[in-house]
Amino acid sequence: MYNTCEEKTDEELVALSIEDQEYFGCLMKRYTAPLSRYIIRIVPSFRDSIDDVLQEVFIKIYLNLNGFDPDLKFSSWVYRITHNHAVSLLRKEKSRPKTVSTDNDEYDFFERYIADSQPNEKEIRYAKEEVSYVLNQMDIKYREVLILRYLEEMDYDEIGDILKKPVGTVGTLISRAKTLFKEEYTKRYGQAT
Amino acid sequence: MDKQHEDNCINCVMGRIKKDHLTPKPKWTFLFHDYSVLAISLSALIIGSISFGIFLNTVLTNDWDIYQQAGRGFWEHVWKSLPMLWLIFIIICIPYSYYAFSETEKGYHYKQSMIISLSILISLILGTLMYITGFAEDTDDYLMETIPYYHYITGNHTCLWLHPEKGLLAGMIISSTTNPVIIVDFEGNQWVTTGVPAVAKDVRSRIGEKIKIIGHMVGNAVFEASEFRHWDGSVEPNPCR
Repeated sequence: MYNTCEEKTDEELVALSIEDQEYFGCLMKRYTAPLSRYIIRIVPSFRDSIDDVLQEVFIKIYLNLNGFDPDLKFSSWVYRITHNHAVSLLRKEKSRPKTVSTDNDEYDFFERYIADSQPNEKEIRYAKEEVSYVLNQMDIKYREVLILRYLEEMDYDEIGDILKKPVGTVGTLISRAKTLFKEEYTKRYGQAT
Repeated sequence: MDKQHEDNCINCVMGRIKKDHLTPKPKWTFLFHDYSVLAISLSALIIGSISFGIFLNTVLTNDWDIYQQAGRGFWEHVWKSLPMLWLIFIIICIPYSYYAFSETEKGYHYKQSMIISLSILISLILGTLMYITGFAEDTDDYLMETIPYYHYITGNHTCLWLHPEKGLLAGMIISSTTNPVIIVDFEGNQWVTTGVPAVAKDVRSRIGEKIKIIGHMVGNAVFEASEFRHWDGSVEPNPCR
């Protein structure tokens, strides 16, 4: 089954999944890794229970397949459901200790948008943790746009569709979020390398 | 997440879908939700427009100049004359219309300021049209006749004109063949009006016509009129109780 659906588009797979649930496996295969990564970025404290969270998200997606608006990209729609679920978890789990999530993408963010020069290896190792730490300290409305723009590499339209905000508002939020990130980073760690 | 882990997750979800016999929610539930939200938004817009129409009708037909006869200060008269209920409806309906519209499938594409401005503009235009066509006045009259105590919350204008001792009288003409005009006020008392009043536009002094009279009481059931005004709209039931 999974081999036969590789050439199909997401939209075709949605239509097929409504008729035959087996095709939903193909959609899950495409989105399991990116969505689990995204959930951990939004709610790092759920890293250990990511399987459970992901299952809940996929069940929601499956149940709502008929609500998919073909005018949107399927990925935007899937991220919207995931985002809403993650944010509701975040609200419920405010009291859970914050953990630092680090992977190479966090460093990419640092390298591309914060640092002015090429740092050495030691600095890279520290930078990953620092970037994650600062991101996790930020208000969710700023953190989510930075994650979507620079870690998930979405364009403004997609971010607008995920967060249900006008494109202009997305641009404003990203610009403000970048400024706040730089301020917070500089305040905590000094000038970026 | 490694491949093994990924496959386990997929198998778990597929297993649960099969075990619990889960199926996607039918399309109509989403359509129903979308149309309901849109209908709520449009309803709020229409109620806001009607509110503005009635507000406009009240403001434009109100007697702003009689505050001294009524024994009120100007601002007290303004405060008591404004239809606060409708003002509150306008204030509630416009943001509610925005909120409901932004919840529609495509609503989030538009800027908050644009939707709110458009809601206000549409309410003003529709409300003005409702005023011009008389729909706002008819609606106000209908509500006054059907909803008990309606006039208490929208401003009691009839009672204001039932104070002959202050020079304010209103009622229905029952005889106008010659001077004097005889009226029955809205509490059922008969009055003979004397004097040569300045007859306002739209006052024809016909039997059955409702009029307002400014003047002064000169005796028991005799009122010297200095001005006749046309009575707009319905009469509040039991106005001074």
